Amino acid sequence: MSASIRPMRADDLPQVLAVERASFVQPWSEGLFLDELAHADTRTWLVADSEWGIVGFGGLMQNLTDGHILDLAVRPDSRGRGVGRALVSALIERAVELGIHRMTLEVRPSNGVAQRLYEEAGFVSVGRRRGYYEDSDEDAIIMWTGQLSSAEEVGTRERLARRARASLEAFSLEDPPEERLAEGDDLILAVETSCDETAAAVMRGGRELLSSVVASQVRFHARFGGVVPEIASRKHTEAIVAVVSEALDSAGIDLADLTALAVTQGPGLVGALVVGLAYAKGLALATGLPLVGVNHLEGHIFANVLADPDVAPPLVALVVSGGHTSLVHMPSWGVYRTLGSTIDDAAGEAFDKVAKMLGLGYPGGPVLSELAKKGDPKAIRFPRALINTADYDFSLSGLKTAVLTYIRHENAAGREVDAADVAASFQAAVIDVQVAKAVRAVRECGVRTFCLAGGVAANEALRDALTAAFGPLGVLVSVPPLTFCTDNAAMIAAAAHYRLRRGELIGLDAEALPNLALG
Amino acid sequence: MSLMLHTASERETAEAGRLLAPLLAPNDVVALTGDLGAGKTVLAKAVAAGLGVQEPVISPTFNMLLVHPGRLSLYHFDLYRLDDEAQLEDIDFYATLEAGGVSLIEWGERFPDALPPDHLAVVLTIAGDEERDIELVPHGARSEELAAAWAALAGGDLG
Repeated sequence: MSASIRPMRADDLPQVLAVERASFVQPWSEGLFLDELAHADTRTWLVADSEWGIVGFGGLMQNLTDGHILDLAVRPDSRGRGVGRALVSALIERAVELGIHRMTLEVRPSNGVAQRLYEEAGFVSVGRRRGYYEDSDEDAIIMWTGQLSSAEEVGTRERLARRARASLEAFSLEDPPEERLAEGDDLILAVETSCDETAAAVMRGGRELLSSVVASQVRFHARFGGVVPEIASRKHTEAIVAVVSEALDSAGIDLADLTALAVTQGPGLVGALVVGLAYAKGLALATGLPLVGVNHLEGHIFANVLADPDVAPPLVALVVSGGHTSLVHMPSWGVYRTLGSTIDDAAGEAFDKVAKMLGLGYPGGPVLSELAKKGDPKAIRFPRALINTADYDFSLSGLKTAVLTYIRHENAAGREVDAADVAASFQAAVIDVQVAKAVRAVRECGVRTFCLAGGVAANEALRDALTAAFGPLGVLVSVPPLTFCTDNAAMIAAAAHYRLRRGELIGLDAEALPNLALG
Repeated sequence: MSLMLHTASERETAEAGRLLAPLLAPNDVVALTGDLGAGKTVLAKAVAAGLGVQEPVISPTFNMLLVHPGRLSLYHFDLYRLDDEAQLEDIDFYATLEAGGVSLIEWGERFPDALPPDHLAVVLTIAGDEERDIELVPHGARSEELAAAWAALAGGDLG
């Protein structure tokens, strides 16, 4: 379950030629390759070999103290997994052993991926060779490294080698077994701006949280002064630079140490998502680091994985927050099936709106939950919408209207409304439906692990009700610590670790996806 | 000048919304006003269904804008969570209104100056458990035409 770099042999040529032909408009012929292999005194040809066959190769020509990369190609099904980086890294290491001082190559201006890879490896564009590529009459960009012995190039080379090793170890064309997914010492910087919070985090190996910064946190305010208000994408723009540098600083990590970048791609507010995405893409372009796109709801589920190492698929998760109410089946790492979600209001939103009706302010969801503790949940029988339907959808708009109608009737009759009873009865109606559907989903999916995730996971009554319902069934109920219930970037980094291990990257043309679904 | 519709049940409120849908043209703007529970969601879902929107029309309170593809795209705004008018720029409010779809704006009355000169204000008032008064207040020539056509269709028997 990995790839390795070794010298090319003549019997590799059928596979090498297939990769060459799949990669170039004017591929080299077999005769040309045989000729190259015959000149071992000045030529170094390497292949990236794996249990899926040869997935890439590259060649170097030595001209006294100059090294010229002649050809580099990666099999189409294996691109985006660091094979090219590993080959370039190995060619440079070999060049150093051969006493080469500087390296050069030509690359097509239209091949941005290759240019970024070479830049990551220390190559700099120094000029153009007119009409070099005959097929398209395209110029070639000429790139050179500095002196390979210089401190700067040594540093670049070491970072490249470190990332290359990680890529090779993780290389797979299949969904690797679950235990391997949890491994690795990759360092990921994640950015989250899907809604109100500007957040960044640095994580090692998907588990070890080195830093997690959320802009609205008190500590952050104290350091940067002022309040970071909610909602506005402008505010994300103002906060993101400081939030990211705070995350890097408190982790003691430099951008150059990172293995990958991660960002929430959706769902969320488009104006907010684009800020994080644009920033992450900019960082990816500047650093040459791979970029991982994460689904925000997937992130919430990974808040549980982060908090409790025993949480692993197969599992069912209920993601409840101000903007989401979804039941998700996760049969294995990276595979999601949304069983159902709200058809009108999200749970957190319904809490906030009922709080407003009761004069508790907005957003008053947490205040309402607090008040509910003093009330009788059986005082008023509010409707349990969709509790008996065969699907896993939720509807909360009708419940909200029922609460309003109740308050109107009581007021009209001149009776005082007991706000605590209303709060407790409303909350019970919401919880009853969520627990009933969660229990049915766990049974039907045949899983032994249930995760409660999202901002509303902080609701004690919901936690207690789920624990009480699942306890007798022997189902593990995972509830994340309060700091990971609300939006944060640590959960995005944790989810990104798994995506990175599977080689799931996004390009610099990736867009924000405000309606992104999970599975 | 304003026109008045009266509905006796949630079903009738929805029917009123369905009747509005075929009258809507690109760049029409309808501002929905009413207390929590007054029926803004019911009306919005019905307009969406009438426009041929297939996906669930969930509350836009959290996202502030949800776009639904249909015969015309439906731009469903909810400005409840915005604190000041400048934030409308952040959600690309002004450009979206002119993007060729139909805009339904909930809580638009919070920012009256931000609404376009020609828009139809629809004010829902709770008249009973399920009874609703729906007042149509057109601003501009296009909205007067829209209000008159809607009232002519929905002013009769909604049952």
